[in-house]
Amino acid sequence: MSKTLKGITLKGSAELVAEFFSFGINSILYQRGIYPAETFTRVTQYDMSLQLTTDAKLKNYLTNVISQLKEWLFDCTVQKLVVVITCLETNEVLERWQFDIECDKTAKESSAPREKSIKAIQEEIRSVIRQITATVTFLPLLETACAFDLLIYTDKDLEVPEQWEESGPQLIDQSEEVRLRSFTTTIHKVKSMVAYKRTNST
Amino acid sequence: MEEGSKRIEFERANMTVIKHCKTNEVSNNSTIIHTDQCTSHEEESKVSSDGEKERNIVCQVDDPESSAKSKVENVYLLDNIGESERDRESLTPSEDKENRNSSIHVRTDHDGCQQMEALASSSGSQRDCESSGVSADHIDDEEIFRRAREEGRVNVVFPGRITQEGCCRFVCELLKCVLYQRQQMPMTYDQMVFLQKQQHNATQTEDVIIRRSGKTSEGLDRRRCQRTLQELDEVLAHLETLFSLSQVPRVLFMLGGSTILPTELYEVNMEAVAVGAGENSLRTSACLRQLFRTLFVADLLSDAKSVRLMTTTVMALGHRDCGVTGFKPKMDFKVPTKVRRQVISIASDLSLTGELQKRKRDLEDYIWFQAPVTVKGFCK
Repeated sequence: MSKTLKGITLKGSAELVAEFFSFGINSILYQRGIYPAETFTRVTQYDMSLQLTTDAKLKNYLTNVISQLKEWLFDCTVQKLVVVITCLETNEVLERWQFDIECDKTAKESSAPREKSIKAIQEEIRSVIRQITATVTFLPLLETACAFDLLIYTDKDLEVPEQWEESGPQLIDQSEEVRLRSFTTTIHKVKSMVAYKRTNST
Repeated sequence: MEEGSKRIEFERANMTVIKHCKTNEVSNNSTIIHTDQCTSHEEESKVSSDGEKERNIVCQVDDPESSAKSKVENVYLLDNIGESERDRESLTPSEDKENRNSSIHVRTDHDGCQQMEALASSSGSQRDCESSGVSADHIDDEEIFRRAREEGRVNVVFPGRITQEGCCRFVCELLKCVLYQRQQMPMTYDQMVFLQKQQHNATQTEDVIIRRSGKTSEGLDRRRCQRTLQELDEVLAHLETLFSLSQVPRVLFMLGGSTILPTELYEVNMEAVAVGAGENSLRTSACLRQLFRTLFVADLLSDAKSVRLMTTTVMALGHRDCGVTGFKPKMDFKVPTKVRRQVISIASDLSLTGELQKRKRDLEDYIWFQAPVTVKGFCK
């Protein structure tokens, strides 16, 4: 792994960010109840207790997505990752977790590690994941059975791999947004936010 | 929606949106993998499901105007409540900053009251601000964040009365939130309770070896988890008792150090809350949502840096004659001034309901009480 105690390379940054998304997506699926709690197992990561799915199909799906994402992160061709939560019955988009990814493409030209410790990066990631957990206290209850989709915004000219297809943005009609903290590896910066359907009825 | 349309056009000009294709194992529309609602919803709904059957189960406080027997005095509004928040400036997105200074924006301006979800209420004994036709003021999220950073203060104003039980819920949920966000617990209270149940069920049948080692397979110190949960449950129970006996205008959470000089100090100030009951009060679950959303936006509690484990002490201001037995009176206690106090101020604005605002009552008969149990943090 191309991470040193004192510096970080493009490859290492891609790995760290991909790892964040793996745990972050699992956290969202757990916290929002998209999958039953008993299908998750608790692990320690970033010095905190996190939930990882044990559902084989979901694990496989996420592994494929994250693996591809890591490549795109390394290539600096990915711009956003979005977790879309929809009502199973109506297909209405209820929640949208958007992670904007900025990549410093100069890192592709230089192999010199950037001076930021993994510990510092992981601390920033930890505070983002704590915030994901904290959103449960105010996000509207998802009262119907829900499904989720993962959307990735890539550069326009990127060749779409075989197992992927183009999609619409799946925005929420009449949404409310809250921004979470961001974190940066100095090569990749990830800004997080959650949009949810307004709950007013009048 | 116009803004959304513009965004789509902009995005499509520069990027492609893709998603992983469907496989035979998943649904025939997309890569959607879905399941029914799960247990964790039960945990999640703990905060708000009580709205469905909400009533004053704890409060023994009568409205002084209707009963002469009540020991407890109403909490009256401050005169200067209007200065707290009325800003309705247009919201503009601001640039995001580094982790510690991340700014917040809200894309859509909205009526804060509208985000109080109208949960089905079987009793119909309480109202939403929506059904009453009253709209709460929405504070610019950036202003909330700025005030939290510069003044260490978060103001939440509700457009009506809060039940005594509601006030208790605010404090209890805030305590759980502070302990988790300040890294005194590795997981949320609800997760700890769930884990405890799982472990209890497991030890009913097997796992003698794990029990001996004191650690779960994931490395969690079972005993410390149990201890912290027990301590926290005791504090919460004592708080409920106190709230059943007295108005509690202020509560302090003191982390680390001593009660004279804690390491961190958080105050829940409810001096400006108008306490009500039944039809005259707002739904607690909806108020909780607004409270925590505001707290979230303020980003008052989260920290990128590691916070060391500490012991948390709870102090509460109660009526000197309330007769509480758990909490101990501390006549000589003074709120520490040498440590930065982060204040979560909760208030009622009765002007929106057409009620008269009363002057703040003197808290001369109120003294500080200390919870008999402290909560020791643990990390895993």
